[in-house]
Amino acid sequence: MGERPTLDVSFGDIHTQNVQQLRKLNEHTFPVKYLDKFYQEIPTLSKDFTQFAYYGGFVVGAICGRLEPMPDSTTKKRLYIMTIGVLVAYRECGIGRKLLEYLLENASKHPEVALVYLHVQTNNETALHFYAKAGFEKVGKIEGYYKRIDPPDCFVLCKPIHLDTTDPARITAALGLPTDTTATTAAAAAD
Amino acid sequence: MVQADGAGRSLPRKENDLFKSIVKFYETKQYKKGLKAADAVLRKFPNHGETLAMRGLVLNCLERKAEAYDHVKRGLKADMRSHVCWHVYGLLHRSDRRYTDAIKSYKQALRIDGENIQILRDLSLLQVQMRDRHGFLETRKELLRLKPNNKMHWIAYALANHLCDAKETAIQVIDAYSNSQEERSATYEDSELALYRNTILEEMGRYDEALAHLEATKPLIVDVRSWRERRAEMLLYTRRQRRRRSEEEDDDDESSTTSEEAARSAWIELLSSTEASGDNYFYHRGLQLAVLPEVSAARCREIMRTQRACELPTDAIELSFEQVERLDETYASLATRFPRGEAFLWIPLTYAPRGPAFERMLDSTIRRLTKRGAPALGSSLERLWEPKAGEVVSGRSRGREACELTLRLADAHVASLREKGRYGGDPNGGGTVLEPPTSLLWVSYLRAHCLEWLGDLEAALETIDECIRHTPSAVDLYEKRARLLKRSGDAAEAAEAMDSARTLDLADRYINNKATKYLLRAGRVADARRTAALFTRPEGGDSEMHLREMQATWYELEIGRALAARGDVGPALKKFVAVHKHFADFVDDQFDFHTYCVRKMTLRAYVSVLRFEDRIRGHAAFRRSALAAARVYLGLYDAKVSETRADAERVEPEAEITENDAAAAKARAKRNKQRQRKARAREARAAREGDNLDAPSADASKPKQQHQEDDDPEGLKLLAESRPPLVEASDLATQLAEFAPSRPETHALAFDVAERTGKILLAVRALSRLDQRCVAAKYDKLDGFYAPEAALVDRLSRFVVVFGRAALADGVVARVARTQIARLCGGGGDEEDLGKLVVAKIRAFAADSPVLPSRVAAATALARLEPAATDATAWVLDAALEEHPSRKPLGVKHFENALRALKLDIRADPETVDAFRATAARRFPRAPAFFLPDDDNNNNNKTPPH
Repeated sequence: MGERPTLDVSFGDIHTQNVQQLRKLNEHTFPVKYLDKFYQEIPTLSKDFTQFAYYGGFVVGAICGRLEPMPDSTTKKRLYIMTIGVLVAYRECGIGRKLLEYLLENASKHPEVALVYLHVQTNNETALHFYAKAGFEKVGKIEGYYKRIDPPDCFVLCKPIHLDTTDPARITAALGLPTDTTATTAAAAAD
Repeated sequence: MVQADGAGRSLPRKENDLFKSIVKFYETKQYKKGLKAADAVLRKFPNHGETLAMRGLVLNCLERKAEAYDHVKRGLKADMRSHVCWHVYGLLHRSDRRYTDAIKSYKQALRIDGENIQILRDLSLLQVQMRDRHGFLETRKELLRLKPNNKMHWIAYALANHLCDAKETAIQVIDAYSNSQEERSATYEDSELALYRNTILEEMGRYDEALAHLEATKPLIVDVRSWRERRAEMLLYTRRQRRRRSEEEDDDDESSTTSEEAARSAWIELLSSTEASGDNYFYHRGLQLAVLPEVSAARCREIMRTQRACELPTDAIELSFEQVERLDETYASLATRFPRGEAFLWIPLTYAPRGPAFERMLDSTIRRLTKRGAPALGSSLERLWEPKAGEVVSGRSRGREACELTLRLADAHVASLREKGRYGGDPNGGGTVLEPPTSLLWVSYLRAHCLEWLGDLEAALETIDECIRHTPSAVDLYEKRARLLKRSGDAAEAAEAMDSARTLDLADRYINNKATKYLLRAGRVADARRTAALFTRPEGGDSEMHLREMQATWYELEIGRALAARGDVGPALKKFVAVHKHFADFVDDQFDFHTYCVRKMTLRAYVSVLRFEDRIRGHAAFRRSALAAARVYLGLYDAKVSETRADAERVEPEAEITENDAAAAKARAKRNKQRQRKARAREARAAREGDNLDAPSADASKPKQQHQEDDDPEGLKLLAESRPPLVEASDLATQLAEFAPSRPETHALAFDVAERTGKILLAVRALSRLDQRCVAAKYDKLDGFYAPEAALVDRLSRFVVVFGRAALADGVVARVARTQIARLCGGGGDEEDLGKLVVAKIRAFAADSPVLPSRVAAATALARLEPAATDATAWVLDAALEEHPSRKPLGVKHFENALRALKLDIRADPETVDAFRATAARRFPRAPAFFLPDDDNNNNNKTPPH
């Protein structure tokens, strides 16, 4: 076998006119199903953190990030990556990395973004490796996070952007996690 | 526009000045002031004809039609000897598009004032609009005689000569004009005039002279590209002409090789002139002919003038081995010189002879284009799978063979790409990097296209589903899936699929239109309307009106058919009539160009527009709407007839109606109905004219372009106002005969009208034309189906039923009819027994054309004449199993039609019908039309797609 080609992708906004393509992409990419509410919200989000990746004229991947308030700050925000997905046939071609880079680069231009975080199913080695390479660290684990897939547990991964502290306790607090990393269930569900 | 000189007759000075001011106000569009001035005159001279007429003209511009006509007519009555009044009357007619009446009025005005330049000019515009070419020539001649110092008069006179085919004179006039010019320079006007003169020389076949003229006028030319194109074209023709002459004179032509070289390099220069010109097939045609000096000048010119789009000379010319090599060399060297020119690589595939070289070329085309991501590859290759009439087939891989070869190559690549991430048998080993994922996608897509073409729709659907799993965000894939469902005979599912494809990209008008069309095919008119409305302007009014304003003929045709299919006759007719109106508008749109083009000297474009407009009603949209409307009218007529007949039967239950009596009854009923309808139409017309007097006519209100509500959405008014259905249908048939004389459906319709009007000679004429004028269609055996002959046998059998007795009568008419029918049946035999002759013809046709639609036509015709004959149903059953060895398999529609005909027309026994249904169901398992009667509980109310 040879090596996978690096694909030259371009980016495009997700709006109400084409959001159904995101639905098709997600249905073929993720084991969980997102509700209509999710697809209604996406077009309203900042295009800096929510984008399609196009190759050969078609959507082959997407990243959906959402700015959230920080529990302990009025000025700072945290950026939550809801989904990042690339169609199976187009994986290992650098598309996910480019989507993540797009988001991180824009995040660094927003001084109010303190950190980026996301959830990864505990057995998803590929994803864990992928985020580790991009500078994310495990800051916690939530048991029973997923309702319909097994294992139901997830890790919380985080990458500081404009964070004025290196204190892990402050980070876990900012993410609403107990300081003990083997914490109990969190209420949030994937959708 | 109206000349005041010598007008304002017998008015005192003050009023005369006022009259002149009306004219001025009219010309400067100050209508209110014009009215005031006219009123001032009329206060003192209430019967002054010219003032009345002018006041009418002003009122016309204020959209007060009724008053306008009233004034102008009163004006005329008061002063019949005034050219102003007649001129104004002409202008009024013109503004309502009654050009013939306008011409009459102008001529009347000219009888009074024969040298009135303004009126002559207005007349000439109408004459060219109405294509009264010789009248136009006369008027232009008169204008030139009166004012020879006006440059436009020279140009227009030359043009008029050209239109009258007096090309020699046209050239002389242009030369006389040019010689009178003191200095000629490279201005647009001189350049265009020179190029125009050159096209006339070419049309006269004087290529040498044309070429010399090009060289001589080179310094004048600003449109350099056109000049180069013309020169390259003339080089193609001249050397051949010269060579032929020299051969005749047995003379050695030394210049031949050099001029061949000149032609070739001229075309290559054009092909390489810009980035896009490498894809210009006009240039490719020129290049091919330059490389093939064996082709005669006449043939070259025919090819250059008639081939369109991506057609190529090599499609129509059989090539020797040596010629193929010559072409290959040319393209190979161009491909190296212009690595981005796809056409240089593609074209050799289209003329390559069957064999390993062709297969290699096809394979590398598949690699190259799927790698680049070309969804249209399959459609491009269809030109090999489905050669058009007149294309060279022998020695080349065409038809099923070519499609199957494509499929085989695609299959191998799909397997290899899946397994190894590389194309199969990659000659370079493929390097270290694997193919991008889209390569697999597009090869699979091509595979689906091949399977679709070969009729294996289930396998095609499976393949397209694989594609969808690979790239589920690609709208094109869902579109293809919908299309496959449609071809499988499931219009409802297809509409669902296309509509859900639409939701993937709500900003894509193309997919929106497709969804609209599919919904209409599935009979979902309301949903289709809603969908089409999504891309109309939201701010104003009715979306249907907006679509009409946009002249969306495809939509009007589709929705018209859907409405007609469910019996909504009025609304359907409205849509077809709207399409007709668009064509009337297209013709009208020329009007402004008659003055503009001569003034701006865009003569070449102008002449080509005139020629285009002459043929415009030959366009498929016009043909289809005319035909569909005529069918609706015939349906209306038949419904009335059977109603009348039912009434008659109630009154005289004992009266037996034989076939021929039925025809007579039909005719009687028709006469009654016509009388009634005429009366009704008279009323309607009176009412309409009453309306018109107050409201501006639809055409006149056009410039306002306001979104009005449609005042007649159900088409009731339209139906009430139209003439008797047979008159309307026969009118449409006449138009089709003029504009689409080589289409079988034209003459079939003419017969269908004659059959109902009982005109035997018209029926015979329609049949002969069906036989003689549709030669092109006859040999266009795309699916092995002889459409004109199928229509012919069907109509021949009806002729026997309707006119059989009449044709046996004494007299010239019957004799002519008999002889003609006998001739159409292949001659020989007993003219006194037409039924027998026709039956023999039907049998011969069924034997000759074993494909389903031919057999259905033959069986229907036979059942009509010999209801007891058993072979009719066997013909259909056999044909259902038959597969043409090299052609595209028949579509589901043919099977649906056949089943309907078996049940309703051929009246086959239930076992036969079911046997056919089962065969069709095996081929089209998804088509509800072929479900067992038990499973189609939901499909009873579904009208099969037409």
